[in-house]
Amino acid sequence: MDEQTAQFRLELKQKLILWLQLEDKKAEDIIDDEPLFKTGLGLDSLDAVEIVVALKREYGIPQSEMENNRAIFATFATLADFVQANKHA
Amino acid sequence: MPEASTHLNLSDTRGNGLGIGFFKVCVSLLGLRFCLVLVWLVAAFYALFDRKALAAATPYLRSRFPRAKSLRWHFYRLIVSHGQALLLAHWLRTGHKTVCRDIHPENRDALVAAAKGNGFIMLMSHVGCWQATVPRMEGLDRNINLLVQENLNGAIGQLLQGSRYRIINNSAPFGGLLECMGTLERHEVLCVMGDRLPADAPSQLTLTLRGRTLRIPEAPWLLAARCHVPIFPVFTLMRRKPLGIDYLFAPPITLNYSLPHKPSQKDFAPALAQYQKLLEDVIDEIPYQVFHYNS
Repeated sequence: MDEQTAQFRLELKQKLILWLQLEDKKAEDIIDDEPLFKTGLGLDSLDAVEIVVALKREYGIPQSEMENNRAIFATFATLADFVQANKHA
Repeated sequence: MPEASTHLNLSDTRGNGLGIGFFKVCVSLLGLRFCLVLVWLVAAFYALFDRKALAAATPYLRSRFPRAKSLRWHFYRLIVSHGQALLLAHWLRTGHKTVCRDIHPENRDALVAAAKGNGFIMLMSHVGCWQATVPRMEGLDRNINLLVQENLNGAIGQLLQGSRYRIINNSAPFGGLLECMGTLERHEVLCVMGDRLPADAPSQLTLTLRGRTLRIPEAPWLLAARCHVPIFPVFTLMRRKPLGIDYLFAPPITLNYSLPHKPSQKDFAPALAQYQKLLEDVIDEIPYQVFHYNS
């Protein structure tokens, strides 16, 4: 992983914690290749809504791109790669 | 007052195939009016012997009728109303019409206006013949989506004939919520039950109704807040003889649409207070037509 990607992932983790009010989590608690939902980080469907809204607001990613591409929510790494490749801001 | 922890919805568990078939035949041969009377007889069986339903309804009935020495009569009336609501839903499903009237038509006008330029959430509750709520949205010239647990609500599909209706299964990935977001982004109508908490609901909100805690789903409120749409609560009241439906359209509920983080119960409090007041008014007016109790 190059330095730019590592920096981006760190920032995205910090933002996720802020957006989802994960007050008991730190960036290092979010493991890149662990599932985001249910097991792993333990997010739920309401968190998915919040992530979609936040990514649209912060990075200008169209909602429909995320709605139709649910594989991006598999792990933090898949999400981060998607955001990095599709962000407009 | 003991608070039973239960998810019982009378619609899910009462009646069996033979009984339902019997009533369907009766309705087709003898008509709706006769069967509405017949329900009074059949409901007596449930009132006397259905302890599970009585236990589920008791916290609600106790809060509504705190001075009653016995709740049996009130429970009987509740079962009668429930049976009549099911009959009415069946009547409508089989292509018949009933007398309908809009209460507060100005609120329905607001709903129609909202549909022209935006999507919105229609918040339904297990009150009266609630199954008839969605078909009332005909004529909005918008796609209408219903978020439900599809395998438990197959009969609803029969009420939603036409290409403009679509059922979103809440057991789909992410509870169907991403699909719901898509419908609202496309300025469609999303219908959601406001008082029923799915068994695997990730989180919940709470209301206090007459001292009783009601657990309700968070999804409609979060979707409204994050998709910037209003919530229109609609109730179906059976107040007319023979049974017709009065549609009670409540004023739209708006939320704080600019929160930078995931909203919490505290953020939803003003909106929830409005829904709570509506439910309390309904409970006051038609106590025997409230059919779901997440306590």
